[in-house]
Amino acid sequence: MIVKRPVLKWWERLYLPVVEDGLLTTFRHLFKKKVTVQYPEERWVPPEGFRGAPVLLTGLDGREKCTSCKLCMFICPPQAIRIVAGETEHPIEKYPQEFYIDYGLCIFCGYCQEVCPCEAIWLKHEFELADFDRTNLIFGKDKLLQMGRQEPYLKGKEKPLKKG
Amino acid sequence: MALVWIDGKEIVVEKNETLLQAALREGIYIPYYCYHPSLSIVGQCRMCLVKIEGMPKLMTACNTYVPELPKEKKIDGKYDMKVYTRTEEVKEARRGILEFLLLNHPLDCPICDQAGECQLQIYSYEYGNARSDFRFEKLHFPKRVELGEHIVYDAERCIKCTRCIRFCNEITKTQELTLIDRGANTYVDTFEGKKLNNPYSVCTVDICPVGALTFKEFRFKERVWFLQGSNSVCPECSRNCAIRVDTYKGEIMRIVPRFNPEVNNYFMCDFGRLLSERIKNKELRNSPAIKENGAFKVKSEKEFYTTLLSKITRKYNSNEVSVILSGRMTNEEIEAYKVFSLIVFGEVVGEFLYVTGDEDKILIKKEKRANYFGAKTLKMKFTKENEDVTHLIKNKKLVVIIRENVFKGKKEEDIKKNAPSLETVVTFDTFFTETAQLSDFYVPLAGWFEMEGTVINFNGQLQKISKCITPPKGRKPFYDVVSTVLTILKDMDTSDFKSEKTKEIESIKKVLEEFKNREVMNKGFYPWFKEVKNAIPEIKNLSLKDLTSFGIFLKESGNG
Repeated sequence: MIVKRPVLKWWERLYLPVVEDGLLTTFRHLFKKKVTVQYPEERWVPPEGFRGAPVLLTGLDGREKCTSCKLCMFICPPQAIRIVAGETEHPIEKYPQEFYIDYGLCIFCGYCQEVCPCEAIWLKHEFELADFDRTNLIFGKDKLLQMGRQEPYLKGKEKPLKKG
Repeated sequence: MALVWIDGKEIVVEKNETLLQAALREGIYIPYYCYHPSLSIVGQCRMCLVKIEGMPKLMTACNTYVPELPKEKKIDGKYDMKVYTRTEEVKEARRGILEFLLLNHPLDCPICDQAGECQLQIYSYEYGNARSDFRFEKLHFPKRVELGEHIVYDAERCIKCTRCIRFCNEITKTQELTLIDRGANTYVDTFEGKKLNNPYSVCTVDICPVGALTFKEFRFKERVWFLQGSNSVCPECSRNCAIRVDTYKGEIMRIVPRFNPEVNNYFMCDFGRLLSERIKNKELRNSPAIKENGAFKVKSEKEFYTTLLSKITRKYNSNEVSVILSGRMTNEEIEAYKVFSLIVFGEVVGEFLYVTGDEDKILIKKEKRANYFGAKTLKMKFTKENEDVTHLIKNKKLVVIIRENVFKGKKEEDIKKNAPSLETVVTFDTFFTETAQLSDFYVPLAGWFEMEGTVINFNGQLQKISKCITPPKGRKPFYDVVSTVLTILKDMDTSDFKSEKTKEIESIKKVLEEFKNREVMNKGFYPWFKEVKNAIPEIKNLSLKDLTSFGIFLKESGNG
């Protein structure tokens, strides 16, 4: 495709009206509400539905909701999740012995949250995950559960896991 | 013989054949749970309902035989029966049956091991409703019942197809299982005082169409959709049961039987299946090593083989050398060993260990090595039955052991006492066994599931095993080791050999030259398979494409 370069008129070739337009926009912003946040002194509050770090949730019985069905592991596009299943005496029988999420790989797409039949994994507000070492970005089960308990983001919406 | 019309297709049904069998044979799919090709027919699940013209109700296809009608009664002038399998009425009936089966079935697919290969899931997807109309508390049954050593039973998931019961009654004839209670409360249990511990017990898990019976060793280990299956052959006896090895990220998760009508039908023994557990946590080495001052030292490939070859090549007379070979070697490895022996010892020496054990009338055979009959076909020598290793190494100077743990439970002093003249022990094995620890040279080989090859079973069925997992670079099949030896020998300076007989060195060169022309110097399975083809006249023109998953029958091999 050939795009023809427009032939400018003489006042357009002066550029001055365009410069004036730009400066006017800048000047107008002086009187608008400021959107810049002075991070880290000032903290940004993410809106509801923000897709932060996926974390593990605890059920009302104090046990992790995850039954280690590995659907999140299957759906995860960058394969950031790794689960090792184990057997317990609990009626649900199966639980995650180990549960790792590699935040270095995670793309925060939210598929894991969408696919989870137990609502055990949830993308919460946490977004400050940067580290100097990649290995530190692999979070284990204990840390993920602790992160899930930190903010009562889901309060009132939680449903107890149905048995059977 | 009767002519049947099924959904517009004309099918000839034999006298002893049911409608379902004939339909499946012709590729018309009728869903079923309780029918199994090698078990008796009960018509228990009612899933295979079809509409037969002239019948007031729907009929189960699995136990309907087709009678031959007299000429004047034939439908449309030629058919003995007219069957509809896909009408709305039939589909509605199947939907109803599925709903009944799922009434008390727990919705625990996320934690069920069968999920992914569950017939309930498959048919629900095809025929079922998305939701159940059952609004009451589901019936509760015993869960996590250990029926046997390897089997866990969940009665809530059971659909009472009785496949497992029929298996124990008809195939193993041990009769452990039965249905307990009546009506909706029915469930499967063992007879009092009995446990499901027969040598084929885990086959009940395979034939269970739902997740009621689970294999204890595989329970919760991995979801089946992550598994990658590769065809192989069970190495534990000369039956060579066809198996599928399911792996996940280079780890063997389970072994399941694969259908092969010539060998094992649909089943395999527990001993072979538990091989996946036995090979775990065994010590492995990934590079060849030489014992120096009592400790193994890892060497580079070239350095190792140069040292080894200069120490053993043509140094001993053939009566001073004992080579213990194993039926765990594939045909290609045996052919490769012949070349190795020809170069290193000047003639083909070595005896295969003839290890025998219990056998039964179902699958387990007497010879406990997979390729015993392959070695026989390739005209190798054998030791006496279960012969002790001390006879074999008596008055020998060099002992080479391939894929056998012959010094199991023996100490260095015992061996020295039996063979005081012993100078060098060379071991080729997958695992770092006791034999390997007592030897002077250790070469790690690729395991049974880590290499390609062909094997011949007791009946003369030649089957191919495939590479299920990729071994580390240092562990190779024996034929690749021989290829490496050939390449290294070619480059080696003849003065490296301590042998003073120039004639012998000339003969080594001659053999090398010959094998250079026969392409085996290129590493890999295929050139050695060509060597096997040359050695067995019956398969001279066989190509790998013709070798189906069932293998090929050789008349001259085996017992039969």
